[in-house]
Amino acid sequence: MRFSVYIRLFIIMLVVQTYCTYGQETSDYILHIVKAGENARRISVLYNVPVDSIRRWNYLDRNYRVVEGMELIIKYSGVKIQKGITVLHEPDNEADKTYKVKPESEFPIITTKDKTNVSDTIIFNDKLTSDDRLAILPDPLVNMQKSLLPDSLMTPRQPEFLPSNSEPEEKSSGSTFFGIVHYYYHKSNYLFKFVLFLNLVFLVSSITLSVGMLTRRLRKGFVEHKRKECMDRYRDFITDWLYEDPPPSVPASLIKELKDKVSRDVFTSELLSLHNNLIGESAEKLADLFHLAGFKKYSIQKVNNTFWHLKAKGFKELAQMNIKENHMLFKYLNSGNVTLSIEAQLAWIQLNPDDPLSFYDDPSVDLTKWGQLNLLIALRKCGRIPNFGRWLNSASKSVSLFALRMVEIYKQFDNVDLVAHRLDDNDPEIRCEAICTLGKMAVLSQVSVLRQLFQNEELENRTEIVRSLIMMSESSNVPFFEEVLLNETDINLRILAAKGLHSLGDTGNYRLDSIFLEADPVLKKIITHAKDDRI
Amino acid sequence: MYEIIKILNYLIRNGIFVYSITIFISYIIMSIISGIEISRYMRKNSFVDYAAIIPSPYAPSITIIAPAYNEGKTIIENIRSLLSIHYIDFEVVIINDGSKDDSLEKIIAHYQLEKVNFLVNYILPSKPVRGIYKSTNKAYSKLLVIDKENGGKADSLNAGINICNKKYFAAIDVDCILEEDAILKMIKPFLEFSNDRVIATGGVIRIANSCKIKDGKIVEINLPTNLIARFQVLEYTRAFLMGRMAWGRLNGLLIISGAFGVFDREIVIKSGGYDCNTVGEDMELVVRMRRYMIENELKYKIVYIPDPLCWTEVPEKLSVLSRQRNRWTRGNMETLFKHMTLFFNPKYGTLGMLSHPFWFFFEWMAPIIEFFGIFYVLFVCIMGDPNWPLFLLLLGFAYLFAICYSAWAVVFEEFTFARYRHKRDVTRLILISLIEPLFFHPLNVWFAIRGNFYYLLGNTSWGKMERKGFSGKTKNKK
Repeated sequence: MRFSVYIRLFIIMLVVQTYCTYGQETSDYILHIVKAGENARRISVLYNVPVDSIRRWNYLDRNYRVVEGMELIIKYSGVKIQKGITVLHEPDNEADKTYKVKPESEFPIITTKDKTNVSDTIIFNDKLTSDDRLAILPDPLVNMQKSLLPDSLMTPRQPEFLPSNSEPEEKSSGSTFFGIVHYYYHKSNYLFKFVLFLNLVFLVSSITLSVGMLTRRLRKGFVEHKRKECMDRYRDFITDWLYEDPPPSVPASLIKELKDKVSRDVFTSELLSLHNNLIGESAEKLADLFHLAGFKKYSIQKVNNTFWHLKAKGFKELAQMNIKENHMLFKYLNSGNVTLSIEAQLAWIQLNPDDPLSFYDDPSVDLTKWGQLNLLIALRKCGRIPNFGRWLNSASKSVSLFALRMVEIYKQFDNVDLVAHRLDDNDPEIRCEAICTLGKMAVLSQVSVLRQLFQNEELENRTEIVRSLIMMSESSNVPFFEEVLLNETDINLRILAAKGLHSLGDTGNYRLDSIFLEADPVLKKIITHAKDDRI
Repeated sequence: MYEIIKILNYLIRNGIFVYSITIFISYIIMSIISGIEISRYMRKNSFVDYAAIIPSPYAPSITIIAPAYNEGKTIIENIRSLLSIHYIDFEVVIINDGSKDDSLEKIIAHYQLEKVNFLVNYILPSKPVRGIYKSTNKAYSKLLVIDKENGGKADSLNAGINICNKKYFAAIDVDCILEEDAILKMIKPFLEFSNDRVIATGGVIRIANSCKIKDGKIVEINLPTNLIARFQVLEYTRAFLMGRMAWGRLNGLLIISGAFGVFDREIVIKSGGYDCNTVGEDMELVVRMRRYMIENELKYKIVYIPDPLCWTEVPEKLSVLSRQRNRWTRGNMETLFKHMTLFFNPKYGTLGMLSHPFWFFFEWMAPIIEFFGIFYVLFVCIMGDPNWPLFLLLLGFAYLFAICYSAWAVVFEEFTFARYRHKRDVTRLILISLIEPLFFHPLNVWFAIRGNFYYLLGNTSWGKMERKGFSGKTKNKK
């Protein structure tokens, strides 16, 4: 036994976290070659990044030192700057100090020469390409613009859905918990907010479901108590109704009470279950009570309901109370919903006892074995068994199979010829059922036909033929059984043939004993097995 | 070098992200499908009078095959329980798989058995049968006991299939307790379809630890007192009511629990029977049956029903649980790798395009990814600068999703069968769902990792299964 461990997400999401954490670290970068006189502090100021970040990006010790010629990775999160970007040192326009981007000069040089900050430059030049223009703002202008720009532009850019990892001043200056939450909420983008929203949904759902379940338990206890109390009273009332003569009237208070769904369900189920076990006058009395209590309209409401299971329930009630609403049933007799169609057919049988299976005349009717099982029960209750010969040649295979089985169950010998006719059918399943029917009805006239059929049949039907011949217990079968026992290859078929011989009494046993004397070990075991009546 | 690390990192992070989103969405979709399917099942069967099947000539014949190995302490009770199920045309075949204890002697003495001259037709491979016994007492006429050389569960089931001659057979663990109407409910789907052949049905397995049992029947259902068993109640409820029901609806089931399943004998034989060389014989058989039907272009169905029909004892000790999960993992891997030809093979429809890949990615690979994910997270924590707010948010997401998912499973149970009657049981289940993701799930991941490791080492043992037994005594099962 094995099945999945369903909460895999728990740890998997931890892994997703790595996506997020590494997301911060894997943005675009440039390679800074340390020049003479530069130190970590100066480089960090140049690029506006923390000294510690430079250490982490380059896997350096805490007390690291930079030396001339050293290559340092400097990352710019989310900013698409191509390596090797250069500028033409000729401003197009003095007012905004825009430079044309050209190859060969390294990007940091631009900002160094212009005495501006790299990160500020980045802010104003998102997604540069080699043909774009690069805006360089002098320090005073940058400071002025900073105050005017939205926050989102003033912080170093983060991967697509993350809030900033570096803590801004306003947050680090002693914010409350809600303040921090508020800060992160506003700093985050839509995906972060979406995950937060999902968390809330899960939390609220879990709490609601838990409370709901506990409340339901309490309510269930209350309803059960009510049902029990109602059941006792209603049972007494129905019993009085059945056995008092004349029966008591249905009090108005009860009618009013039965408008409540729980009470009505209890009353109806009690009434129907009792009615199911009664026949004749008593059953009719209960049907009268059903009418007087006004339940018919509820049953019809159920039939007209859009939910199929309520419809089916309605059919059941109408049929049991003998309320003929054939027009309602008719369109569901061959419904695509198998359960509904079975219920409609069962109701039809109960309500139309004179011709209970008339719907079989429609060749499009398809019956499952489950449907056939239920129809047989309904027919037994109905009491009027039709002549199944009418459907033995039905165009519907399932109807034919059902008819063959019914002919056997109700021993309708008049239909034997029709059954025998089906032995020539092209469908092996129909032939098998016909063989079985003839065997169970012990139609001796068909023994030779079955024996002739044997050679051309497949294994399943051959087995069925041998079984049928055993049931027919005809001594003329001895040579046939003997031939099957000696010449067939299938062990089960041979055992069956040996059992056939054994079932014929002395004649068969004599043959078995004779064969046993000259048999090989397998055949001996087959015979021993067949003769052991305990198996 | 840095570029390579960068590319690898990009692939991992995006791959895992897509993986997580897929698994998350697939679980939600499966729960929705399960909900719809259970609701449909409940409505459909609200009309059914199962008792009507019993006397009907339409009720198919069935053999209950129960292999037993060293079950001497409870075997008499177990057989009694099996013989008392509500059905007419059935036989119970007990296979004594070369037990070293006194199981066979006890059965022979108690059920008044004697050896019969039964010819065994070895259609399916199995170890030699030493003897077949039937009772001289007519009260036990439905009982057949096979004594054979030890060959394992799959081998015993093959022996049972060789001997039985009914159209269907139910494979069950002998120490399981069946509901009285279990066979009636399991056989019904075989009668319900006219166009598709139903080749197998599976039912929900429930946990019997701490339940009161009398004469082989459950008389009082309780939540297990042992915490490990209680975790498994939640796990089983989720897996059966929210997972397998959906797979059943999609006709994509890959497994029918070895504890209880009903099969079409003819198709099982044609598919080659149980594979004796795997520890996941139940899953392997179902996959092979499905392949047989598809390769022969036969229309078929495997049906799952949500009724709690079979009660079994689950491990209460971590060591036993570890062995069980280890075995499940190995069985899963054996089957998946044996049938790799199905993997995204459109020829096999749902089986090839959905079931096999799902099992491959989300059953086999998930614990491995989880396990290495933990180390990856630790690595990032050490080497990088984790974004703690986001970390907590995602951790909360995973945790709350787990709780919510479990809560839905309890709701499914509550609105369908509500077998745990005590109010406090629901509260306990809710409480257990709060701690299950923190303790039980990581353990399961670890056990699965061990299973993978054992598989690579070529370990094919079942592992010793220790059970307390419903009588409260301890017994060992291999």
